[in-house]
Amino acid sequence: MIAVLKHELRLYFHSLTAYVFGAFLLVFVGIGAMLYNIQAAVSNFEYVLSFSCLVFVVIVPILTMRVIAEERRQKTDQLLYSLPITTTQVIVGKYLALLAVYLIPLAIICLYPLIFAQFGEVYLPTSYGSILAFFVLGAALIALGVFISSLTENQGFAAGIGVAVILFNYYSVSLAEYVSSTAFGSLVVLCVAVLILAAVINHLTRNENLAYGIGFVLIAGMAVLYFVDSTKFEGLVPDIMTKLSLFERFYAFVNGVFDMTAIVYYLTVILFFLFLSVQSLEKRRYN
Amino acid sequence: MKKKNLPAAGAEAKQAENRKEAESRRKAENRREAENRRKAENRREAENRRARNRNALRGGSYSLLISAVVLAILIAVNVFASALPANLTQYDISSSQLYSITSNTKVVVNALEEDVTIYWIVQSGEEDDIIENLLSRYESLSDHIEVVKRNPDVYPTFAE
Amino acid sequence: MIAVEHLTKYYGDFLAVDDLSFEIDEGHVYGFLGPNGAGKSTTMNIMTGCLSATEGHVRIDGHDIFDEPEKAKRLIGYLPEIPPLYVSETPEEYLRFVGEAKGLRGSVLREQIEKVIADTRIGDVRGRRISALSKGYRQRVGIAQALLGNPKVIILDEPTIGLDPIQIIEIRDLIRDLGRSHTVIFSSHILSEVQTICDRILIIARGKLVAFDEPQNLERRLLAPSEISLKAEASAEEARKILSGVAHISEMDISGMDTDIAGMDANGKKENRVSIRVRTDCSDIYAVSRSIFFAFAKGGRPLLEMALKKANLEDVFLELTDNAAGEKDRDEDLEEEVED
Repeated sequence: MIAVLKHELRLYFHSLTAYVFGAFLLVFVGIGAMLYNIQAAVSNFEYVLSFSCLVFVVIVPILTMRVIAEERRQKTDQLLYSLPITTTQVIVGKYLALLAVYLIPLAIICLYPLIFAQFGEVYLPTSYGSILAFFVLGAALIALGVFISSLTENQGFAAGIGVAVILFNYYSVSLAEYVSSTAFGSLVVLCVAVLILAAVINHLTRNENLAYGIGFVLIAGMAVLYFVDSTKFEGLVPDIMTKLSLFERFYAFVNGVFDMTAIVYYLTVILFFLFLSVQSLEKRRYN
Repeated sequence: MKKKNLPAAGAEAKQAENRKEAESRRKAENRREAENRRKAENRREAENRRARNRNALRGGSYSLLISAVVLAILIAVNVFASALPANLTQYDISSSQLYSITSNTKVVVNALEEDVTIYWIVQSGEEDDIIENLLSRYESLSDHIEVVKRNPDVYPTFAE
Repeated sequence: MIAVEHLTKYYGDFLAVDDLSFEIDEGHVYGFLGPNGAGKSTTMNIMTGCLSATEGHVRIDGHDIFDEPEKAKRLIGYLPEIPPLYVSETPEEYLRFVGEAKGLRGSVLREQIEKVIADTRIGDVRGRRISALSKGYRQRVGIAQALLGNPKVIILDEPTIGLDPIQIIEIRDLIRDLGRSHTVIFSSHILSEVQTICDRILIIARGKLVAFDEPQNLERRLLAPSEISLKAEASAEEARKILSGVAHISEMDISGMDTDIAGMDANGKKENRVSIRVRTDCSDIYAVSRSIFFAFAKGGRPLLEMALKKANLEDVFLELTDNAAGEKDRDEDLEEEVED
């Protein structure tokens, strides 16, 4: 695993990736700092982070698109399979390298509150609490990016899907409210989600009966629930999206609440997507 | 003349018949052989197909199953974490201490002996984060306190 | 050393490897021989843990490649058909990564890297980016990577593909050297190289193992007899009469040569020339050619050309791989017949 970690770091710093990522992040945060802290003379640094987390939509896919897709394309994944290291070690090594690339511009950003504190009253706990949350948010999105990269051989696809997914995540709550504020709307959205799940099951197991069975059971269950008590469905989808959205949980920190449940959530997201990435790599071996 | 030809013709006819018999026997044998071979092959292919599907099912559903199990465990962890009382999991880092409860409040709440229900009149989806946080802290301070939301659209006359 | 038992691999509905079983002993050079698409690469991928098998087991020194992957993989060095190189690195950086991943550290790692660079003779290019290297050098970097850590078994998939003749000879020499201290398995569809380097040959066709033996034994197994082709200055009947006196000739095929090609004698008259193919089942083909020479000399007709075609591996190969194909065709033919 250390071997993979060192190798990936060397790759990132010998190519432009690490520098482009760092530059973009610093530029965005810099612009935010200029707008909020300097021009508007607001002393809350956390608002800057709230503004800049939009940049993840672009830089995370660019950073993570080649992590696994490139190995597949160059056929170097065969080398990784034949070496005496486990797939988990490979994924964790790669992920830690990505985190390291992320931490470097972040370390620079850590200095900003201190600098601003020289010129005004900056309440440091909120600022640093938000920076920590910003780090964990980025880490979770990077784990998501690793998983997306493991699904395809084509870096472009990986980047495109990554942008789409993170963008969707960013706007998920407003989208959900727009689409399904009524109970019936929620039911429809959930049924669509179940259908997508059934399609995924079908693709993975090639057993149509299993996919139809699960899909049917879930939709029937939800229909029954709907007829029993439709108020439960009111605002259900916006609720779910709020709980699932990585960005929503970050805003709590900006508002001044250091929410441990959010940290726990981010950690579980990281674990889940790294786990899925390992599964995805293993699955290729089974062909 | 005819007599001479007849036995000759008979012999020829018999030869032809024998030949035809031998051929049909051979054909039947070949047919049986091919059928046996085909049956054996079909059996083998069906077995292989079942083994393959079992493997695909095994491979695909194994990873699906284990992903579902892992997902369930992670969801359980999250549910557990959010079920914990708010003062354990949420720390106030705001500059104006918006979310902290002053010691005065704590004294009052600890002295509560009767049950108190706080009705929050708010539309679902319009809850303010700060108020939500504060009320959940009150709830976790004492067993006597309960917060209930009332949607003014559904219960318009409640405030009266 | 390596035990492969009932290995089967389906790609969807396509059977790539069909119930393959064999055992590899320590310290020899083994050749996987077979036409393209026979399943050699698939088998090697399964043996090294890069692919899973639908059925069957592969055990390296007792460790099953899927149950104890790390232990088994430490014993193997593998070069796949397409060398898995990180093209933006130099060979030195690449080898350092592979060495670390194999568990080598510090001075041991440095020694190993120097050793494999020397063995594969890539010292000149060790600091150059792999993307700037020629195919021959890239192949050698791939072999170097397989040699790191001094594994007991080295598996090479078509190591001489795409190389120029000099490079091919160098790689072959390298393989022969390695065979002295390691177990080497390499695959090829070029008969001559398998013949010259290997101690044992496995012939694989259509996913099945059709032969597994030493090269000499395989040649001896050939059913087709040896052939002698002659060109003599004689008429067809004369040639036939002369050859009928020679022993051990099983078949004779005489054809007159084209009168345009036939030359003129000193007087400008057109000469009779025949081209003959003779088949013999005698094991000592030189005895037969000797008899033919003396027979024609006694008959007073000059022999212009005599060429021997010994039974060789190519014929064995073609015959065995044809048989594998033939079986399938015969079954199909029989079915067609019955359907009439």
